[in-house]
Amino acid sequence: MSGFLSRVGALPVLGVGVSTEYGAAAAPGALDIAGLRAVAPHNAAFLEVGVEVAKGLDADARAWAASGRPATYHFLDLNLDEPEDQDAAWLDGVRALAGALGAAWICGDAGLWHMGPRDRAHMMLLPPILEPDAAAAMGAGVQALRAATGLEVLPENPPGAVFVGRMHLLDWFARLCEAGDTGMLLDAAHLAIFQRSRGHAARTGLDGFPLERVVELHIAGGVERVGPGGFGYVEDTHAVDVLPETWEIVEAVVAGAPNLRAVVFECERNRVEETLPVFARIHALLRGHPLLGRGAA
Amino acid sequence: MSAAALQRVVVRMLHDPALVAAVFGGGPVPGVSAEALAVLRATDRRAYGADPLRRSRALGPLVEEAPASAALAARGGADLGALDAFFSSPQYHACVMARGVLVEAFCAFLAPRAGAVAAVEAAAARARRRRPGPGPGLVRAAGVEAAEVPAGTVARFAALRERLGAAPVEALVGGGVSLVGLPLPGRGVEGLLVAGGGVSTAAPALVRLLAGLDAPRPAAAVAAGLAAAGLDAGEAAALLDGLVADGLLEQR
Repeated sequence: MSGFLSRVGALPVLGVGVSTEYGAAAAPGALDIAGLRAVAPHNAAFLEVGVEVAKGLDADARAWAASGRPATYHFLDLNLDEPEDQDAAWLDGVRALAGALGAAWICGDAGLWHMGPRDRAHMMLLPPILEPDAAAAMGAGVQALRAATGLEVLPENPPGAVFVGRMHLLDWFARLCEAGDTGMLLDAAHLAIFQRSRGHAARTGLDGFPLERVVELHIAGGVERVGPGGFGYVEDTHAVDVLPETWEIVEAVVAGAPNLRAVVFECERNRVEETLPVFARIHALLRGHPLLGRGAA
Repeated sequence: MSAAALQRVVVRMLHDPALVAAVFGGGPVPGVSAEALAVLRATDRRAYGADPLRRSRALGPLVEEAPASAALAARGGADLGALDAFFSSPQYHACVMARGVLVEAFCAFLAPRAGAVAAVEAAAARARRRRPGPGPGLVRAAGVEAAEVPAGTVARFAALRERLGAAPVEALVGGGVSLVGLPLPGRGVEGLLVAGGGVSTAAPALVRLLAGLDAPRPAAAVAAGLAAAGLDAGEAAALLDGLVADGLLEQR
């Protein structure tokens, strides 16, 4: 065994946690993370902090970091397939953010975060082009960022209304993990969105996917929408109503992912009491998995 | 066609229904390979219009950065469609494919209706993003741009910017902004200097000097150029020292 699968054993087991973005905790109706920890610390064993380097950490993220509790850093502004995006100034910023958080690893959507150069007017998030050359380019970006930061870099499957390319998303990510010699953050809600958009069943492609590469799992609610022309799609709302297909994916991944070390319920815009039933279901699904046995509470 | 290039076509399709119609129309599309067209046509055409507010959201930061040009092009807010049309323009599509800076393309798009005020805001946009290249010598500093514009342009820009206030997007969208009585450009040219986040006039000779130092040049060569323009060695050295002290030039 070599490469990532020989390194993954050194990654810490973080347990079940929540995520935040810059300023999210201060928004009306935001999840009270301290309140969640007060009633159920095992539901917020770690915090995933998603910020753009240009914004830095907000007061809540700094307070979490000061507490010394576990954290991960989620980038929101990196096109992994563009070498010029990992410029010296951005890398300095990432190292500072990850260092301040004591991040266990870096993760982030392997997609298009900005068109053209990184610029306030260019920000967006699109899924990758599901073709082999895109996976190779993103794999090189993963390797470069890992070398530059000394931290494992876990690409995440992004959401989207349209997925362009001839590959199944899971086949594409298997190729990316190989090219990047890395693991991944599998977002079950995003995968459910992809499966619906392609007319697949929830578990399509999972049987051939190297689940030992899955280190982190995201779960979130979504809402079915109908757009112009009757186009039906799922919006990744991060509400507490988790789609049945998402749960089906979670069950399959938990059962087959021995290296799973962290599960995030993305619920940053909900009241604590609304989230508790979902957390309870997550813990029930994880019963018997090493992640719960060794996770911090 | 590479995946990176195809991704840029997808970005354009998400912003421009006309391109979506062309892609799904069945014929060739300039700049898009037949193989890429087949990949795109395998997707649901309706997906590209699933977010009807995408253009409006993308337009906001552009108008914030070029508000005076936007006000002129949109007739003070009476014709906001003139701004939205940017996403169907050749300038937009070329910018995305070239990995360019959108606000600069936006200013170029607005220029026919906004006149030289668009050149002022384009220069300001370039100044905000300027990172001088490496190498020894004298170079125009970060945050500094210089250009020649028609005389009176800076006054016109300043007057309009004052009318737009601190929330220009809101001013344009709600109620509109009067364009009556704005100073008009005159004959001849004036120097435009963007530095320290501000816009001012400057002597055309100074503007030409600064504009010529986009990349580092040896100080001796710069001084020789000033000597050829009539300055003695002492005057040239003092001028360059002063520009460095003022933060307009960087000495490496």
